[in-house]
Amino acid sequence: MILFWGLPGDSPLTAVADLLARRRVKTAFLDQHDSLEWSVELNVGDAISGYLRNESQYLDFAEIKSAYLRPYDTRDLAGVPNEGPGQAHALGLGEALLGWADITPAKVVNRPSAMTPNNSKPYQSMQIRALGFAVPETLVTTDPEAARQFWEKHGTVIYKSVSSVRSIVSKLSSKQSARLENVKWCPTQFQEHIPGTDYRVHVVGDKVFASEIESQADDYRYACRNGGEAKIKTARLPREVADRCRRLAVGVNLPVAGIDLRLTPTGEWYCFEVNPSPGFTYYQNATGQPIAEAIAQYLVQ
Amino acid sequence: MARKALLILASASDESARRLAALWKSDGARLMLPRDLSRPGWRYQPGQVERSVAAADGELIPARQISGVLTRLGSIAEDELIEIAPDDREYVAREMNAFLLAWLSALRCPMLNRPGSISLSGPNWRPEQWAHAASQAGVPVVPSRRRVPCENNLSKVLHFVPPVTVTVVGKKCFGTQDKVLHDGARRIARHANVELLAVTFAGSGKDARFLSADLWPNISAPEVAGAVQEHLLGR
Repeated sequence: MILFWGLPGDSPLTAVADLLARRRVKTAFLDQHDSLEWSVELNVGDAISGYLRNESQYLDFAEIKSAYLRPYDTRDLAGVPNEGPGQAHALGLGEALLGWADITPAKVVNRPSAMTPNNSKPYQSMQIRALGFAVPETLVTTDPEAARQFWEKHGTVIYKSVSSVRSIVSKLSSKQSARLENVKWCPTQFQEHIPGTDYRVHVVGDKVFASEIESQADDYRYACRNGGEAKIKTARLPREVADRCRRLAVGVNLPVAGIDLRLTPTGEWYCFEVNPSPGFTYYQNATGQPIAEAIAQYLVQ
Repeated sequence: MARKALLILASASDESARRLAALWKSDGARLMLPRDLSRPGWRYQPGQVERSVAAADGELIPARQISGVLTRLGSIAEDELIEIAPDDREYVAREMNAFLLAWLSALRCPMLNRPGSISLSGPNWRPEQWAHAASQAGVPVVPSRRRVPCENNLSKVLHFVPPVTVTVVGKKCFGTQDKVLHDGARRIARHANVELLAVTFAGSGKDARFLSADLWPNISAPEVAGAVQEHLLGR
């Protein structure tokens, strides 16, 4: 059996679950909205055992051969009380599933412990560098003067969140010069601007799907907000770069990974981030790449 | 030669940390509190940690002067950031945690404990993960059971054997003379990639079984505090 955990409106999760359901592969979908209807028992000693159960289903952990997890923060879910026993139930269910997912011998996309380095971009960038990709020169500081010196050195710099809080990557401009004083309140991340073409590479097991993004925006994910656009097309990576992406995904223990690359005009490949829970359908819909199919195959194999 | 600094990263309300800082003052001990992350002067360029600068106890401290770090918290809590506007505290706390995780991970000096990928000190495992780790390390385990819903949400199978706690500091063990427990506690610490850990067992000798682990043990006992100090100073 293959377990899916998340929300039915989540397009990557649904894309893979629907594919497997059409093939009559035995699956179970644990909808987070229904968290209060599920109970769980997890026993860990010399072996791992337990079950998930609601009124109509009984899922023995021993029967789960693989799992695709894209849970949302339980506290943000409509229908989950924001206090009391209901919230404790939903949070407890989540804790049990996350704990199970990190120790089960089942195949898991992706294990929670492997997803956490993404919560610190400079921490993850050190992993990326150690695994063979160039990363932009970065400064994290509470020193306005250090930020100014870094800006002067590189000419063009961008700033973005240090953590995984989603932030729009923006170029530092003279308009923000006065606001640099505010960095003394909170460590702020500045990065040299790397010119070039963006690529999103999805690694699924040993399969690699590359998309090239054509956009003038500093952050193509938000191009539409500023009247711009992002054109996405299938790309072919040099074999050595594709292999490096595979090694990177294996190195950070992510069987499914979304890798953000940029190819500079001088032919150098930079890596900005490895997304441990990639929203691949955005790229699949634009390119027709069979990424959901690859994930489905990975889960079944 | 510049004076060495031994950093103690702790909550502002951690009285044990204050006592240790006073006790180790002659070794350059400085308390680093969450509010120090809102002081001008921090600089860190990934890949160049030796050139980084920290702010603690009213001073700017170059990384090359840091002889060791004792981390007494897993993360910075937003309610410690009283100088930050309330609406911004959650975001600022997350940014500070992400920054500290990267900087502490890069430092090469002795550290108790080195950060995990989500916690500023150690792996921050759930009880099930500790039980699994103990089992993987070859230590017999009292099974951990989690049931939801359940009034007793997280429980161990009932046992009637008095618990014994071993505190591991590097290669040293404290709390009992039982060599079997020492060996088991060290194996679990190694498996978790930590050097400061309290491990509680049910029973003793060959009948002992793992019950729980604690990444933030009480280190106020003089012999434990001394071992922590020696470890951090690389002696």
